[in-house]
Amino acid sequence: MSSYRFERQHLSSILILLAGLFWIWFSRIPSDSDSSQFISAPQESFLAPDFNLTTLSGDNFNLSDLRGSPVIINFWASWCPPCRAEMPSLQQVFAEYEDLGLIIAAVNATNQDSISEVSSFVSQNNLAFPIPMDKTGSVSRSYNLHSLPTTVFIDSQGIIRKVIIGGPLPTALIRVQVEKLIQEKP
Amino acid sequence: MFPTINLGPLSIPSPEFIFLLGFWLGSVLAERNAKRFKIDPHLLEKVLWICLLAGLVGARFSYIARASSAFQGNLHSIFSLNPNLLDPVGGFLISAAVGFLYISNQRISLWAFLDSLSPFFAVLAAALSLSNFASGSGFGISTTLPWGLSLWGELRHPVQIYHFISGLIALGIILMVKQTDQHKSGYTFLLFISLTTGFRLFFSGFQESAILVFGGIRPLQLVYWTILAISLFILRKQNLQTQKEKFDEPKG
Repeated sequence: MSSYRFERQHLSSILILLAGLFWIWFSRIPSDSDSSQFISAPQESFLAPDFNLTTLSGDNFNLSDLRGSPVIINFWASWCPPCRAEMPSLQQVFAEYEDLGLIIAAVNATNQDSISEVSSFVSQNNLAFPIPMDKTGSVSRSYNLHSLPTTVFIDSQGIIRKVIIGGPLPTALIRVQVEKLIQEKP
Repeated sequence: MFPTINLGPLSIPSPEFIFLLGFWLGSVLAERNAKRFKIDPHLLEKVLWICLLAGLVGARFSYIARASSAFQGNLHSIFSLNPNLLDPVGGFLISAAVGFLYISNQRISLWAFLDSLSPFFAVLAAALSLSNFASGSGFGISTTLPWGLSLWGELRHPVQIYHFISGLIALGIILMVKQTDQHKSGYTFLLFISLTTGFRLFFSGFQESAILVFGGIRPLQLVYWTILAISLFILRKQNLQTQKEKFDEPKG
């Protein structure tokens, strides 16, 4: 390799690195311009889409009323085996963290389920958390539900921190995610 | 975004599926090119599978080590098939360590082996970009450009597609470049690293980032720049060495 070619390569390396530094600075994001936390979308780092549903016990459930507490939204149906399998884990974690402010809402895809089956499953498993009933499927659509179960972990600011599609979720995994939400709580 | 592929009652998580497909395609391509770098394709295949296995087991152990209290009274979670109970960084480090020990034990040049693995890494990097596209992670900042993707109420840069295309370009270049006597062992790998980090440094400038440092700088870009600088430095060092060896060669 000629000395000229070698020096040219050396110079281009330096120019590439300088251009890289310039680009890093030029493409920086002003810290006040992150709009994702103001847009509601079923995606990590975005505001969780709000919804208002009636629960199995007839109470009103409004997601935005729960700001200030970490929330787990679990989408499920009584005919879905992994959904049924993970419910005891959700109940166990709920019992462990309820005093620390954790809220779990198991949104039932009622538009594709039977209310009597849901009632029977909930009483058999002694589920103590609210079961909002999505009778029209509108909440499932707003959360872009692809398959059941889907679990959404929302922090106390209402921001989605984790979306897990599929199951059954092991107890340890739910605990880890809840611990993260509680540690982030202001 | 297509987080799952629904086949009748089966729901396959597409990001994991794409990643595994990338692993398989990458390993096939690397095996076909292994002889170019004087590496036995069977050995390369063996090392890749050992690393995959070590990576999976390591990722689970690393996750357990980092969150041991979550497993108390719930030991069967250790054997759960759920991929969310894997620590990717821990898995990668353990996989790399096992691979390194195995190669050292076989007395194979590490640089030559990394050269032969470059097509594998390139395909895997491209697959990772597609996998991110499927899951929706690593999305872009808002744009008014005509090819912006409508995502969550805004047109956004399809950054994962930029990374995917640039990954394919890097793959094409490393497959075309011929290893000559002027190039020392490790040239193809370092070229791949330089191209990949260079492209990623540029296209990450269009990526949304939740973590920012020093007044809005993306830390990921700083990491890419550092790796790029190191790989260019080693390439220069290798070039200097080649030039010196050529100069010292007895003439005639």
